[in-house]
Amino acid sequence: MSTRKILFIALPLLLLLNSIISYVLFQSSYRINESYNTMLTRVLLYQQIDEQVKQQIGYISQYIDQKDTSILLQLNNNDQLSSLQANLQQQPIDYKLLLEATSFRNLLNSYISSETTLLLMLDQNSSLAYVDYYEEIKQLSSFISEESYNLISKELSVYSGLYQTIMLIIVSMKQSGIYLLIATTTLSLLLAYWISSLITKPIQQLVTVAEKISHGELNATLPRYSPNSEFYILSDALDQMKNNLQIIIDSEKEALQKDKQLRELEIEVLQNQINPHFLFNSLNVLSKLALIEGAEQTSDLTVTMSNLLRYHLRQMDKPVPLRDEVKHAEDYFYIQHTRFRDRVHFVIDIDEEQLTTRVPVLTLQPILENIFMHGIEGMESGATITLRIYGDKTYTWIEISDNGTGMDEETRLNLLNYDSPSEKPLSSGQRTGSTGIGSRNVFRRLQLIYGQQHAVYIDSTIGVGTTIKLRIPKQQEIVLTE
Amino acid sequence: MVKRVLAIVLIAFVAVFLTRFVASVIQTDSFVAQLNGSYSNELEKKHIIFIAQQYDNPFWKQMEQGAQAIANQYSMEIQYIGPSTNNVQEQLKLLQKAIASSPDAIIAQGIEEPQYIDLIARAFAKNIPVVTVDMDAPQSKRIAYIGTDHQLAGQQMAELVLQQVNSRTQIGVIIGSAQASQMLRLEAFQERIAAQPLIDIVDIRSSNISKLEAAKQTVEMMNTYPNISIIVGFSGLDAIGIVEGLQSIEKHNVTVYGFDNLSTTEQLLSQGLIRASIVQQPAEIGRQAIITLDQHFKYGNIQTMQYITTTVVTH
Repeated sequence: MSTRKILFIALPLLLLLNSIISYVLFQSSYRINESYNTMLTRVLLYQQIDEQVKQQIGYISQYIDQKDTSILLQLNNNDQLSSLQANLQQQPIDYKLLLEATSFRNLLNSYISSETTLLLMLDQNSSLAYVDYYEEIKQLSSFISEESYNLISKELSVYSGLYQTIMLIIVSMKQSGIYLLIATTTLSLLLAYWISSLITKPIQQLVTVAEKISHGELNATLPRYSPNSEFYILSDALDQMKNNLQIIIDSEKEALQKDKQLRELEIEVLQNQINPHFLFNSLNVLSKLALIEGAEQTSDLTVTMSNLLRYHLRQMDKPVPLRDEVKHAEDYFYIQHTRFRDRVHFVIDIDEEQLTTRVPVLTLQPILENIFMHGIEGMESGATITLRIYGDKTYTWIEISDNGTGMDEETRLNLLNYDSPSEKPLSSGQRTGSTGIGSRNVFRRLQLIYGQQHAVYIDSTIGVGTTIKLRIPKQQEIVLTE
Repeated sequence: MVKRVLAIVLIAFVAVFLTRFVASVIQTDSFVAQLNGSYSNELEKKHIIFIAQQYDNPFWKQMEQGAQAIANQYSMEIQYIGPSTNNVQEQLKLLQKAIASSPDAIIAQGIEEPQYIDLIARAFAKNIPVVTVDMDAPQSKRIAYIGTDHQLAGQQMAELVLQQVNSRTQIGVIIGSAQASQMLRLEAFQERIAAQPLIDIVDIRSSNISKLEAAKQTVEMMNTYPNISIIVGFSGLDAIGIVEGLQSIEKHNVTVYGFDNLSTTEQLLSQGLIRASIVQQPAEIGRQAIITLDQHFKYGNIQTMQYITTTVVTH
């Protein structure tokens, strides 16, 4: 159940219960009070009737004494007793007292009719016949008096019996009502505490996690909540934010890496550009001198050397067609061939169509250099290096293989682990000889430029040889800078 | 866990007190409803006023109970009233009040007093039927008498005494009052005893239907006539009073006869302190009075004299 539902159902329910209890308590007292009032009304009525009868008898005897007609007139016009009688007729009466009450009503009726007759007689001023009636109403008045007191005491005793029972029940009702109120209040408090902890606990947990994240602990785990709770959404959002942050940080690190690599390359290039003209001029002089001295091969070698140097010193941030790279590889191989003579054999198998594919400068030469340095250096004869280029519409494949010493698994994995630059600084650790930028450097550059689209495969067996395969996407706008 | 237990305990607490609370509310409600619901202002049944000779007298109480037992069945309500002591004037006043209260019928003792007879006539004029019980007022306009045939009862008593006596014997008599019923019993008794020359009724006293008075009169009687060997009590409490009186002066050789079978009479009979008692049936009288009234209301034609039989209970 969500916090809202609990708040909206349980608390109003408890409130309602408390209100009902209070209302019922109030209502019960009210009803009992009312029943008391009706009883009291009757008692007062009996009393009033008794007094009224006595008063009228008093007037009548006064009239008989004084013969003052104003008193008679007053008596005739006095309808107080009949209104009391009508009132009495309407009173509800407990069935236990119904007989007595009926007697009382009949007594009153008898009195009223006798009194009317008497007043009529007195009015007509006829003889002394009224005396009997006068005696009778006096008698009736005493009966009324007796009966009214009798009724009052019986009413009170009937009521007091019931009243005591009701009071006992009321006491027990009040007691359980109070206990009930205490219990429901405690329950409300408990519920309030529970609901508040339902809110504050997840908030505290989320706050802790948020603090961790803000301190850089991105692997902090978020608490789990039921999918119905509002905190599920909050926790989920925080989790997504955390993941997004991780992705942004990763890509930021990668961009930084790229930047660093480029700067290193630039430095490299700048270093290589130191006094290039002096070098070219010297090489030209050497070449001409060798030609004059009849050493044609030395002259050619010097020219090739000069070409190699020129290629190395060109703009590093612009990609070149694969054709240029192949040419450069051939130049490099020529120089190495001069050194190794017939001990090494270079085989080229190229699909001409693929030569337009643009690749970063110095993609092939560092790999070849690596082969010469490590792969075939120790071989006395029969070393073969094969360069194959082929491909389809989307990719160009460059395959360089040798039949040299091969490498062990650790070396192979170390070579392939080119996306972790922190392990071994490229510029220094892999540097071999005067020209070399290591194979790893090449792979790393391909990764930085093409990302997921490039691929590097190395196949090697100790004593049999090594094959390195590179996959380069075609029609790719290569941007080295930025 | 603690929180859960606490919550369950609290809920149980609430449930228990809620049940108790609701129970008392319902109880109060039903009581108040009873208080209000039992109200009505019209008496639907016939209103019968029953005037006893004396309010607390067990004989009259039994009569009332007999009447009450079937009143409901005949759709009648009985208002039982009576003087606190045996007082004819008070009875007269109560009858007068009863007539002024205009009931549907009155059940009362018949008293041979001109004023009393006048009042019954007045009730008759007001169309209030009066049934006399226990004692009749034959000259009045009562519609019926229901009760013991007192002459017969007096004769029965005489027969009982005669059965025992075969030598010269002095007899003392205590009567309840000088009322007709007692006098009828006494006259019939005296008449029958007079036929037997061995027996003399030496003293007749009145107990005013009070047990204490009967005891007092017995003591005085025994002091005056120490040779009395039989005392006869003519109203319900007399025999008990006589036994108490005799015990107080430690007279053990006096035989006691009495009327009716009230409270301790039975015990005294079984102890042999009362030789025999002629027992009236007050409950039956009350019952019969109601039936008679019902017949009067329904058919208007009833039997005027209805004697209820008596039985003799001996030791």
